[in-house]
Amino acid sequence: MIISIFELILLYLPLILGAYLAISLMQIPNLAIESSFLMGAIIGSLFTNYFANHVFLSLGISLMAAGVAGGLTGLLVACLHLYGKLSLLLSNIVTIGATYGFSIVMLGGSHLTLNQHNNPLLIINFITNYPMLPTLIFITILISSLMFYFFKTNLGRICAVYGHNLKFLAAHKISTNYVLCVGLTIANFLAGICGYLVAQNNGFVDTSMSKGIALLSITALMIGKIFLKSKPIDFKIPILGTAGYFLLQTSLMSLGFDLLYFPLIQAAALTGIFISQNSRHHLNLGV
Amino acid sequence: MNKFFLVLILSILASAIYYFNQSKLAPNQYRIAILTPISHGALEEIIAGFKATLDTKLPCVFETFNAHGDRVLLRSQAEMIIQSHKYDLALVISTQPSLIIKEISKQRNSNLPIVCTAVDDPVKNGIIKSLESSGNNITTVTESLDQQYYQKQLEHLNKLFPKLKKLLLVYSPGVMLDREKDLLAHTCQESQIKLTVLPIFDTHEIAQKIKLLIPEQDGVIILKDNTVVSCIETLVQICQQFSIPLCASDLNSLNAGATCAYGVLEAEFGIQAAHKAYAILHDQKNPATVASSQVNQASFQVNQKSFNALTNLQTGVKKP
Repeated sequence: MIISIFELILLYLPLILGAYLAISLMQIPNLAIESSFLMGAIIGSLFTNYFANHVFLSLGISLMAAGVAGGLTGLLVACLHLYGKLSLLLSNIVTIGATYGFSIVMLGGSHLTLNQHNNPLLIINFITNYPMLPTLIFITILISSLMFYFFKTNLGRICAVYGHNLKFLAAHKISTNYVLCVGLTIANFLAGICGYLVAQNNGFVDTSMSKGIALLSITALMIGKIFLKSKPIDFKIPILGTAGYFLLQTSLMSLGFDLLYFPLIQAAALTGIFISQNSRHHLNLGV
Repeated sequence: MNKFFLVLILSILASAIYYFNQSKLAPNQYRIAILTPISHGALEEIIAGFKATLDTKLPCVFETFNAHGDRVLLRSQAEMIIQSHKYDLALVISTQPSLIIKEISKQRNSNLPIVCTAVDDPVKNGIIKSLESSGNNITTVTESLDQQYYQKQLEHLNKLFPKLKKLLLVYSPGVMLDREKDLLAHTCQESQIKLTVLPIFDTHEIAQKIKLLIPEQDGVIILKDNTVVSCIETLVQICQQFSIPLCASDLNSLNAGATCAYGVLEAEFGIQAAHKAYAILHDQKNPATVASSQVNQASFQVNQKSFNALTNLQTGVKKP
C-alpha cells in the first residue's frame, strides 16, 4: 500500500509543483490548471497512439506534447489577461470554456480508451507489480531537477517575488508581463504532463477527468504549508503536501470513513487551521 | 503547531493501518468489495440486486466504495481494493471504474476475481479478450444493444404514438453511444422516422440547446446515457412544456417523469453479477472461464401520469 501511495505521489507531483509556482509563489488564481491537465492528457495520448510503434520516441514526444498543450493553455490565460484586458479570473474562465470545446473536438467525443500495449510508461519495467514506477521515478526526478534549477535562476526567484512584491519588479524595470507569461506557461506545462501520466495510468481519457484537480492542488499546497515554516521558495512544500494529501485520503479510506463527507470535513479542518495559524502569523498561500 | 499536525496525521495513518489489518470475519464468510463511481437510482438498484441475490446463497460481508464522482478518489479506492488482499471478490459497476481496476489489477499482477457489471462493450474497451473467455481475472455483465433492440423500441413507440414522424435524439457523444446512435438512426430510417440528433457534452447544455429544436419535433428519445439521464428532470419539464412525449432507454427514468421507457431492469445487472460471483466463490471457477453475459430482457413501460398529461393532438396519442 505504501508503494501505491508513493506511485500516486509521483503521478500528481508535477501538477502540485505547477500549482506551487502559479498559485502559491506567483499568487495567481490559476483555475485553468484543470484545462491544462485535460489538454495534456488528450494531446499526449493522441501522440502516443500516433507513435504507437516507436515506444522510446513516443514517451519523449508525448510528454513534450502534453506539456506544450498545457503550457499553451497557461499562455492563453496570460495573453487574455495582458492583451485582452480581462481580469485574471475571467481569463481563466474563458480559457476553461475554450479548451473544453477544443478537447471535445480533439477527442471526437467524451471518452477515449487507450491501448495499453503501447503504454510508454512501461518502457523501464523491472519492478514486479509496479511496472510504471521506474519510469515515473525517472520523469519525476527529471522534472524536479529542472524545477529545482529553475527556482535557483534569477527568473525563478523573480517568479517568487512576483506574487509578494510586484512593485519591486517595476522598480527594477523587470517586465511583469514577461514573468506572468513564463510563470503561467511553466505551471500549466507541468499540469499537462501530469494529465498525460494520469491518463496513461488509468487507461483512458475522458472530458470529466480534470474535475476537482484545482481543489486537489490547493489542498495539497495547504497541507504542505502547514508542515513547513514559510520561506520564500521551499521545494519541500509541494512534495510534503502531495504526500500528506494522499496519506490522509488513504488513511481515511482504510478506516472505512465515508468520503462523501471528506471535502466538507477537509474544508472545515483547513479553515480552523488557517484561523488558528493566522491569529499568530500570516500564513500566505496566495489562494 | 506544525509538529502537532504531523503527529496527528501519522497517528491517523497508523491507526488506520492497524484497524485495517485487525478487522476480522466470521469463519466461512466472504468479503466482497463493491466499487461504484457515483450514487444514483440505477446504480443503487444494481447493488441491491447483487446483494440480495448473493446473500441468499453465501454468507457475505459487503463493503461499498463510492467515489462520489471524484476520479482521483476512484483510483485510490480501486488501488485499496486490489492492494489490501482482504477481499475475496470485487464487484465493479460501469465502464470507467472497470477500466481503472483492470489496469491496476494488471499492473499489480493481482488474482482477485473481479465481476464488472453494466459495462459498455468490454471487448472493444479492452477489459476482456472475448465474451467467452476473458483471458484475465475479470468477467463481465453487459447489455445487449443491437438493431433488433431499437426496432422493438420504435415498434412500441409507434403503437403508442402512431403519428410520430419526427424524433429528437439527445445524447452525449462517445465511442459506445455513437454506435448506439448509428443503430437508432438506421432503424429510424427503416421506419421512415426523421431523426434529428442533438449532441450535448455537459448537463447544462441540454436546457440551452433543446429549446431551439424541440418545437419542430413529435417526440424526444434518449439513450442509456449517464450525462443525459443525470438531468432527466430538465428534459421532462421541457417536453411537458411542449406537450410531446419523452421516451427513455432506462426504466428508472419513468420515475422522474419520462412518458415511456424501453429497457432492462437495472437490478438484473446485479443479479447476473451475483450468479457469476457465486460460481467463482462457491464453485471455485476461474473468472477467465466464467463467460461474460448480456442482459437482454427489455420491457416497454408507460408512465400513465405523464402520458395522460400529453395534450398535443398532433402526436396522435392513443391511450394504451
